[in-house]
Amino acid sequence: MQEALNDLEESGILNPDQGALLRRIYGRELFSVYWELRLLLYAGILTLTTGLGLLIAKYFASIGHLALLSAIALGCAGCFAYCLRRGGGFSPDKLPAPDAAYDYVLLLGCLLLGTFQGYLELRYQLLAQYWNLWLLGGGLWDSALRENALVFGALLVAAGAIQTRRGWKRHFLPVHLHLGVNVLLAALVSGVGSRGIGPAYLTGLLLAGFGSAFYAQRARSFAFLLYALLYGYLGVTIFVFDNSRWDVEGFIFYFLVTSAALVTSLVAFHRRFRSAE
Amino acid sequence: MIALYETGEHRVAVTEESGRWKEAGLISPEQAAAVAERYRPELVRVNFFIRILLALFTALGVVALVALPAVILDVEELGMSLLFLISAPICAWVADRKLIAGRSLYRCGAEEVLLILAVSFFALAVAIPLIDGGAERLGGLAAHGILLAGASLLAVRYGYALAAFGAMVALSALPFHLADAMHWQQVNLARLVLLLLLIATGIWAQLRLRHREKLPRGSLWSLETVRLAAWAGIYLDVNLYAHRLLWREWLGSSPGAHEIPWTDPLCAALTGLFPVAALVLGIGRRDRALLWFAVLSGIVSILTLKYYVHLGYLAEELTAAGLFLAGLAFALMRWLRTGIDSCRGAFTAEPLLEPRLFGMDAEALAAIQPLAPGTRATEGEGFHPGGGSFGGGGATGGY
Repeated sequence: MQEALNDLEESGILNPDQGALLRRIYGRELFSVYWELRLLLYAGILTLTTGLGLLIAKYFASIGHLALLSAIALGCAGCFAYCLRRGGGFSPDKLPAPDAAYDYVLLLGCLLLGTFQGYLELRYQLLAQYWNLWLLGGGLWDSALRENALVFGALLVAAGAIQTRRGWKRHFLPVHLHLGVNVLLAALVSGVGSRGIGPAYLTGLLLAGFGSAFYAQRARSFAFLLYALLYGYLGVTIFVFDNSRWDVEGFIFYFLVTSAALVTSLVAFHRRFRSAE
Repeated sequence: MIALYETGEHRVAVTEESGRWKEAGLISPEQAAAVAERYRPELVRVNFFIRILLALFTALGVVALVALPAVILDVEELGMSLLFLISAPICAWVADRKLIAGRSLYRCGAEEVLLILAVSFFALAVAIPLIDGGAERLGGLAAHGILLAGASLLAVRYGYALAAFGAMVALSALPFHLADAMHWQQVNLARLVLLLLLIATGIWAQLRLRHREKLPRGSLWSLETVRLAAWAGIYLDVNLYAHRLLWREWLGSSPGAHEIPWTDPLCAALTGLFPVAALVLGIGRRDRALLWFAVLSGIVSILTLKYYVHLGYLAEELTAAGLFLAGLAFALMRWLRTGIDSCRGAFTAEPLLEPRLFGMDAEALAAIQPLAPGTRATEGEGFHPGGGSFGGGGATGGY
């Protein structure tokens, strides 16, 4: 890399200050431990919340449920209050974290909220036999929850689209889309094998897949092409296998033809959009 | 490594690095475009996600292509072996001659998976007749040896880090497979052989990495993989007390005895010291891979040491450990930021370049960790040497 830096500096692409800084970075005279310290902090917060959870479980009988729930709720509210106070108010744009602790206090608040919900359900059975509604993904193969997942995924994608259109927190869009598209496509795939409504789910899957692939091409974010093709292929394969009476040769031929077609399409896609750049 | 990759990787590396400089705000988009133009790679590359898709569907297609004649002709074991024997060199030839030499493909998924399939098909071609002939253990061992040699060859010739990892896994399993094939009665002896093998490969990789500046990028990543796999294997060996029964037997301890005086504390001490050693080496050599290993293994040691050294109950220990780790991270951040130009020696807590994992770009990393806190978005202003929030460790500003 040092040779390349010399060359780029001599050719005038990099100025001497840039060249000097990059040479120091690649020569390890300037070494950032930003990500290592973040990892340490992240691990510390996770270990701490696990330890606190176990402490609660251990002293659960002697402390009393209401006291514990109050403590968790207070801790959670304290974290969110800190974030609201230090965050400097709402801004539609991305704001830098006011201090190093900010992100992690927010994470701690969210984890405590999850603990609060879990404890509430465990002790007071708020949702009783519908407890797995708390865990959307766990009940994906249950038809009622599948519909919830469909609504949740669609809402996430729609929320991302609306806020981008309105110019609010545009940097949230990748999180909305990665999560929303995965939940939506997984829910649609899970319904393809259902009797009666399978074709409707397949149609939905193909439409959502095309949408995801179109976004991938438009935003040059090829993870969405991966989601579209993987979920789409899985859904189509389930549908074909459920609705055909082929013998083994037929199924093998199906895989041969479809994989050859997809490889050819991917090569054409790459050539057209120069995906590596 | 093949000459095509050895010469072409340099341009790929500079182009990819210029993307990181741009992301970090160290250079302007126009400068990045100029670097990309000057160092335009001759090798053909694809996006990381398209690479995964190409690998997946190529594998599916080739397996179907081999399976189709087998099913149509209803071949038996010998026929399958013959089919694999024909398919293996064809896969290797298509990948090496047609795709890599002919079309200059570089880590595009299709050629990588074809080479892996070639090795797997060859292993199956050798193993099937041996197993069919009754020599099951020998067949398994032969297939194992071929996989190990093939993965090593792919790592050396093409610089595939995944193949290097596969070779390390095959190497680690080899003593156990040998023990089974040779009817060794002592499983612990195989564990000891494995430990020695890991130490030897770890030292070898570390020595090769001393000249990292001269190594092509693929070879560097493969050696890093070998070294980290060796460190991780040795650490697990120590942490899991893998040789406890062997020591017990060698030292002539009676079956009723609960503990051997020195081996258990030694393993516990090594479990604690191993991350520290990695940390010291990582800091001393400014070696990022070792630093990551030290942080991760340190956390594992904190969580597992309590089973050897009983300091208290799990809940209290985890709470204390969490407080310690978070406090340590905050203290280190603060200490580094209060240094001259936010540096202490060569170290800074400020972000310089986005992390890169074996060539996975920022989008790939973002996709696998969209919810992790602290992910840094592109900052237009970038790093400001000589002023602003971070002084750049003495570098002058002004660009």
